[in-house]
Amino acid sequence: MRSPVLSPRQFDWTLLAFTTTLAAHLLWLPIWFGATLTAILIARWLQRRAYARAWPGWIKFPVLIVVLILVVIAFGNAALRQAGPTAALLSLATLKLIESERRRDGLLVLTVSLFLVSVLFLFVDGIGITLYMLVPTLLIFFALNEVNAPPGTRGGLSSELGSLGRELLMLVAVVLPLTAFLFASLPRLTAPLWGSRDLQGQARTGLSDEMAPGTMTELLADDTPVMRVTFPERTPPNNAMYWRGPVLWRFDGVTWRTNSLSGPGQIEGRLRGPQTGAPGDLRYQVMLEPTDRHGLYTLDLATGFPAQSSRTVEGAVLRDQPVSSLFPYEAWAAINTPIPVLALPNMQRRWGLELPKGLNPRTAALAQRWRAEVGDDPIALADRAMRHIRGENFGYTMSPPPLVGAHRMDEFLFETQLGFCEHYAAAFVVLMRSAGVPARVVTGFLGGAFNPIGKYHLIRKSDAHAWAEILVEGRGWTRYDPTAAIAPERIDLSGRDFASQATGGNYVWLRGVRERFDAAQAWWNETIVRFDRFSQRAFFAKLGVDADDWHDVAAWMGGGVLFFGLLTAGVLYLQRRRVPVDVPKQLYRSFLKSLAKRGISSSAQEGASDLGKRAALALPSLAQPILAVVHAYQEARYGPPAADAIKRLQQALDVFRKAVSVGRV
Amino acid sequence: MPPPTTPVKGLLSNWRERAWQMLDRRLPNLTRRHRNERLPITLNQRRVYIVPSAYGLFFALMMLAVLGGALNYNNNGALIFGLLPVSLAAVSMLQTFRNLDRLSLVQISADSVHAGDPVPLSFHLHTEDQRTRFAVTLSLGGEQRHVEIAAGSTTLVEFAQPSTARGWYSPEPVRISTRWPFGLFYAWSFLHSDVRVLIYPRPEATAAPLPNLPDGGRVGGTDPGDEDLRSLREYQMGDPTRLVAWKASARTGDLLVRQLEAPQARETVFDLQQIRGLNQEQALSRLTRWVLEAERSGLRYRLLLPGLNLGPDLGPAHRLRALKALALHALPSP
Repeated sequence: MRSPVLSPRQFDWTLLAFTTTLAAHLLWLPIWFGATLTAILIARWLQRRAYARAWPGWIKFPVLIVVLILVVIAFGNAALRQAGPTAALLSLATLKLIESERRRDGLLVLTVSLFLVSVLFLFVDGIGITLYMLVPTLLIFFALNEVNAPPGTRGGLSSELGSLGRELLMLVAVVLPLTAFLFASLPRLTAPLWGSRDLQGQARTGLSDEMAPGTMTELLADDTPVMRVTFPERTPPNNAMYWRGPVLWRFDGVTWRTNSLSGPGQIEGRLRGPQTGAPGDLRYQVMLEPTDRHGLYTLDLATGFPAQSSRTVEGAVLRDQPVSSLFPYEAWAAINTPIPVLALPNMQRRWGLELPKGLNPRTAALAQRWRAEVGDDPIALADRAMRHIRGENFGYTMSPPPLVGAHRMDEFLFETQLGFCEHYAAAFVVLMRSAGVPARVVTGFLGGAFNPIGKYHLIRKSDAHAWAEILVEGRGWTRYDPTAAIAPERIDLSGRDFASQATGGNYVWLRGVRERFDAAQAWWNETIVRFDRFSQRAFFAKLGVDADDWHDVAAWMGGGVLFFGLLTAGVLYLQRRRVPVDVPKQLYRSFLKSLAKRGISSSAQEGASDLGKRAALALPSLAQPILAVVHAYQEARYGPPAADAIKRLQQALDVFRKAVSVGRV
Repeated sequence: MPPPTTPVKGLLSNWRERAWQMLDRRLPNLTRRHRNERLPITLNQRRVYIVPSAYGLFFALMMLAVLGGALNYNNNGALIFGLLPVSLAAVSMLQTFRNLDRLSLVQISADSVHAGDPVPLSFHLHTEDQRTRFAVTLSLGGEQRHVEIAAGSTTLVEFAQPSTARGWYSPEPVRISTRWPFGLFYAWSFLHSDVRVLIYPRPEATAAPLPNLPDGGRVGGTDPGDEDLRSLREYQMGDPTRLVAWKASARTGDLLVRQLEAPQARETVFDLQQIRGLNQEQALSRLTRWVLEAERSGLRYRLLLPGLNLGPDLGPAHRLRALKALALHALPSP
């Protein structure tokens, strides 16, 4: 038997459920790819509204081929093991919709949508998207409800949303707790049985290994959380929170890059973790969002850091494995301590002095002039440079005039004189190198916004910063932040606050909402996203269940199933008590009582018509109203359903009562 | 009973019959299709059966894949959205059952028809409680009807079943089923009531002339309004009360109403044994035709069957008695 054709209503529900699922995937799909699928869906929707027919093969197959080619173009990269198949599945589901005419097709699309809802979490995470995904999930179930309704009937769930009280009760009282119970109790694996997550599964923007013009601007506009930091003992001031990221040495006139000192092969001067800081050091705990990179952001100088990570000769802490999921760690810092030169002093000095040949002559000349002025002392030269930046007409702006020529540092220092951390750090390092002082650019994050609800500091991508370090013999690499010379507020506020201050947007309530939301996000990360075999063991231990003893776990699961059975029974009991009385029968009983008062008793076996006839004979004066009541009662009780049947019975009963009272008078 | 065509088929039907018998013994509730019951039949947990539907199995497979993947990658977001549908599905099992539970078949109205005409059957489904039952399917004799039964109301589901022979006709057990709300489970029950319908013999197609009238003269002849007992009939619900004949009712002890049509004058006799050259069924067909024609032309008639003498009379009640006698003539009583 062929499955029935989808009604317009059923088709629209299916399309809506799939579209809301696809919408979530647009978060990670390339824009043009998502736009193609969306365009196909819109075209299909318009066409199905006009007439119910699948697209003919000469349209369908070319579209299929084009979309599959797009998948290959977007995800042909073999490293993306999960992105490619997921995009292919999204495309195939879209194409299935353009030929979906029957219930089978609709059910297939909806089931695949449900699969795609879960698959999304391979690519994105967080409380916001989790809450949003409830929408497609429920819509898929509404659509299943509609699509499964046989022809001529309705699914009912969506059309009865207003009076869905009891179904909603079931959802809140049983479904959500059951989901939570299963979530907490389902045994977790310590290691995956197969495969592993894509490392570069999505292009996560973050601090990269190079600083080209514009890379920072992109970051500064991005609110995405990078990490959340708790200081259990004391909180350093914001202007001391320099979170160290990649160290950049090589400059080609435009772009700054890392060198071999950052590589994993560089083992000299490395300090292996785990390390614990000295007693006076600042201790803090970090929950780092996945970056797909090795770096752990730490405060200088990192004296304590977790196992399976090490501090490089540059002072950055690198983890052996890339951070591909939320990663918690504890670290210690000796605040404001220069980075010691533990190895390769000559190589570091050589790298720290290298400049592209023949570029930026005016900058070089300025540096030489200073050198003649204050001598060879690196600290005196750095102070001179800071004074220069403070004294001249330099300005801080997030949207500086672009630098276009070959001598970009000259252009910046002598012409535009407008820029932000990227420009100032770069110019400072070029000046220092030109003056013969080894210097390097350090990128990372500065400060962080304190969240009073969660009692932690949130560092966002918009807190990205770049500063400079110069090598002072006998002390090590010492931090200089030329941006502080020009915009000291930037150093004291988090980047976001600074930006909103600059644009005049200062919405206190909005900030409160954001803080609340971020605290919720942090809680979600800690308790839900990070929930694994170890958290589960701790959770079970709290309940007195030994997670490693399968007897215990089985008893717990069995108890849970029993509990939810009882809970469901309880909900049913509540619903059953609300069963209304049989209104016609109730009215009829009052009628029988009146008759009994007039001397006509009735037995349970006697049918209404027999009783009516008997009563009419016995009370001829009331015969007419009596027969009318009996007739109306039978209509209301057994007749075809009619809305006013009960009303008519009520009226007949009123007439009867009136007649009774008149008779008495 | 047809002879078994092949031994294998005979063995098979034998085996099936034995299986049904065993089920009847062991699971009487499951095989209610073999037992007639008095109306109203109210469905309850003892008589609603539920299994996963084919789609439900596919759904389970998909969810297993999701849960396996989520556990493997320790991806808790994916796990939540694997477990939420599983929980919804588990609860939907109960909802599917409850879509049939406490649903009552309160009445089956059926009209008597002549053999060969479809028997109209309407099933009155009633819900006592405040839950609307969506997407309920009734299956009878290869036909399906999909209905929605509004909360606290009665819904009529109509079928037309072919009638073959005269006599009592019992409808097949009707299967009531649902996949509501999500199509993951299939719940069903059989409703086999003891309701039976009388099938009258098929009237003869070619009209044989009515037997000769014994006397063409008028008999009686009274005023149309006369309260002759002959023009009174028993009160039926819905009759206008102004027609109640109070004096006559008080006299007889039955509630009687006046009939509006005046009594008729001519009369004839239909005698089965007077019909020659036809077998019994054909003769009954002819008599049926005559009864119908006599009623149509307002002719009083007497029906003579072996051991039965009806009338002379005219009118719906007489007609019903005559047709019933013809329908059941020489049939074993059930």
